[in-house]
Amino acid sequence: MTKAIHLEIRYPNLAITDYNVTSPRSQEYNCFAWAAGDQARWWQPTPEDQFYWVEGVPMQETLSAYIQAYQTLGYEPCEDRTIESEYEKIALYINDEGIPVHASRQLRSGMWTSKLGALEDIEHQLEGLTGDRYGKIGQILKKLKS
Amino acid sequence: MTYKLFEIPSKKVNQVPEEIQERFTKLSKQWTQDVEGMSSTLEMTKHPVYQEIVSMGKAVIPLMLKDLSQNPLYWLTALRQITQENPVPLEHKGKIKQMAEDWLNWGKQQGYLA
Repeated sequence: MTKAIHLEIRYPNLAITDYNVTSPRSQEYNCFAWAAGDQARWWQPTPEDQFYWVEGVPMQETLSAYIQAYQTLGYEPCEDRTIESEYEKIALYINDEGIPVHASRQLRSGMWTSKLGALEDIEHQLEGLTGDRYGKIGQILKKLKS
Repeated sequence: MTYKLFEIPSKKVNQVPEEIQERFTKLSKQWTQDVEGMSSTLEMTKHPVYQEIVSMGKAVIPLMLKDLSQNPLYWLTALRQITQENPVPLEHKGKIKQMAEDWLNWGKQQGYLA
């Protein structure tokens, strides 16, 4: 397993859970893109319409807008964060104001994969990224595997 | 005509006063340390240190353009806020390296880069 102290400083729960660094740093895509399987763009509903955002979905940093964005890919809200072999799942992390600040995608192993801002990709447990920076889990989404 | 320190309309990196370069470097390091790992560019760019850099105005444009090759993401928002321009075509939205390239081309056209 590849660990990284600079990540454990920013996300202290990583130090007490399993995780693995799986890529070098990149500024070319963020977690919201990575969760959707897009490594070519930075997804962000900015007021200036500067980055990529799903057409037809409100340009707002709200949980509702993020859910709608992933619904265009076939995901639907659910409660169960455990592995279900027939489903792909995404977890949306929200801050104290309820604003989505991070997204993770579940892997076949049951672990989750995340792009950490402009830093590395990691495999991790869902709780490994909760805390000051990424808040708490606000919504789980799932879709049937194709 | 007299300019306030950060309103000096420098065009090239080597024309930016040393004190402005030093302040930009110091604030950039501080901001990077604070926001690295954030997923939201909104959260990153509303950070008070980022807004302090933006408030330095056109004088820091050459420094931002120079840094784009190392950090293509970081200054896209600041450049837009300072210049009120948008050289990024619709089809490049979200494609960070192409967005940075669009700004570098803009910088050349405006005389900020050789």
